[in-house]
Amino acid sequence: MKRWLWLPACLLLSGFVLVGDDFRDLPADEQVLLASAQEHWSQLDADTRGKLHDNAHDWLARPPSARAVLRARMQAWDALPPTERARRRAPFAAWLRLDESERVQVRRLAAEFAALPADQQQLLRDSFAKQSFDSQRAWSLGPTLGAQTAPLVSLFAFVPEPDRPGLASLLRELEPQARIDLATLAARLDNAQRERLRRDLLATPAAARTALIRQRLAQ
Amino acid sequence: MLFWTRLSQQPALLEATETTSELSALTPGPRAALLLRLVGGLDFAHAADVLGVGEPAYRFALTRAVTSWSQAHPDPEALRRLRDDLQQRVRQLSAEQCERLADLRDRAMQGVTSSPTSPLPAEGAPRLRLRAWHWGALASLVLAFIATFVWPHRPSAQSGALPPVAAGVAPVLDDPAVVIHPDYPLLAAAQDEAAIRDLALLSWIGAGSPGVLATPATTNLPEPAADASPVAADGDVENAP
Repeated sequence: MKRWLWLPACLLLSGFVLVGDDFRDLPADEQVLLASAQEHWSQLDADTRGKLHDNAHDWLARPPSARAVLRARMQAWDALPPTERARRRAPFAAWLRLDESERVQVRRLAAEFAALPADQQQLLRDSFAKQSFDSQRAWSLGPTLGAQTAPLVSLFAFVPEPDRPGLASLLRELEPQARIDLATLAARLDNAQRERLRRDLLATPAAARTALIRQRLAQ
Repeated sequence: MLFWTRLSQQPALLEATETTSELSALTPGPRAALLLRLVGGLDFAHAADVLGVGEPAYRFALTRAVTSWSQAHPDPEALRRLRDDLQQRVRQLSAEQCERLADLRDRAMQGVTSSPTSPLPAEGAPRLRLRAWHWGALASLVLAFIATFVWPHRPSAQSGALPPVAAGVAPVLDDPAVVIHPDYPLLAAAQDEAAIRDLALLSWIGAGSPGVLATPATTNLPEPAADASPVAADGDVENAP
């Protein structure tokens, strides 16, 4: 097989489906489900198309009983106050940003936590709740990055909500030593300087951020 | 923008009431898209911003709303009558309701202009004021938007507490509505619900619960295991290294 054919062949074998902008490329049963999107399909961004395809694919794979459960969950969800829905979306967004090994770890922790006696669970919850709001949020980055980011919690203070995912990604992409340097740097800045540093970091290409942190640290 | 965004997230806007039974067949997203267009009069770009989605996604939601509406109301004039009816309700709001809404608007706008979290640089201030004025000018549309859902149309409404929202009528979610639900991935991940809900707590525990051991009130807490797992498989707790 020619070398250039390997990639599409592997994608095909792995079940990967490229969601293009031609609605007719979708499987027929998905086209039926997503018919209301057909008119706008080509104008939807690739991410939205991919999500709709994933949803339809997941739905079609579910047996009727599982569909009924999901439909009921959806209706219960829609009945929640918007603030509550927003509160519950935040950890899910953070969950999606974890890599699979971290998800496996957190699943295991969840199972172990659930096996604890109720009073021990509550003790842990109470202790966690004593931390600042920003500290608690930093732990949404996962066990590893959360521990490295906790000293950087001041960088998250007063950060507008839309900017948080970008900042989390930025921290995730930094090398461990750069995160340590950033924690040292952030600790000696006032609020305005931290805000400026945050903006500068976000505006700097990922490859140049470590150098920027070192440069500021040396000032 | 904050004003409209908050407004579009009002619980009553997202729940069908007996006074909005005409729209109760629509799911919340398409309903909000339709209302922003019909009553708010926002163009596609601004309405998409309010709902926090891209313009194509907004157009999609709007199409979905109009399609569903048209299926239930084949009369081509029905949509125009709905718009007129909603706007008529706005014009009949009591003075007290208007006052309360104006207060809501003012508080929302203060949130925009005086927020300590505002990331705009100093040179952005005039633009911010312009935007605030711009959104303030749209306040009357907000009255329309809220009034059509928050309070039932009662011309003889008494002053004082606002009338309660009637019990909701859950819209029927057919299969196409389910798969375009914006929170489908979250709701479909039921098996991970506990892990997702307590992600921050579990991560903190997994890292060894830092910051609690020196606290007198928590000295009796279970300590994490050396492998960053605080709880042994049998539910017992291992000592930290």
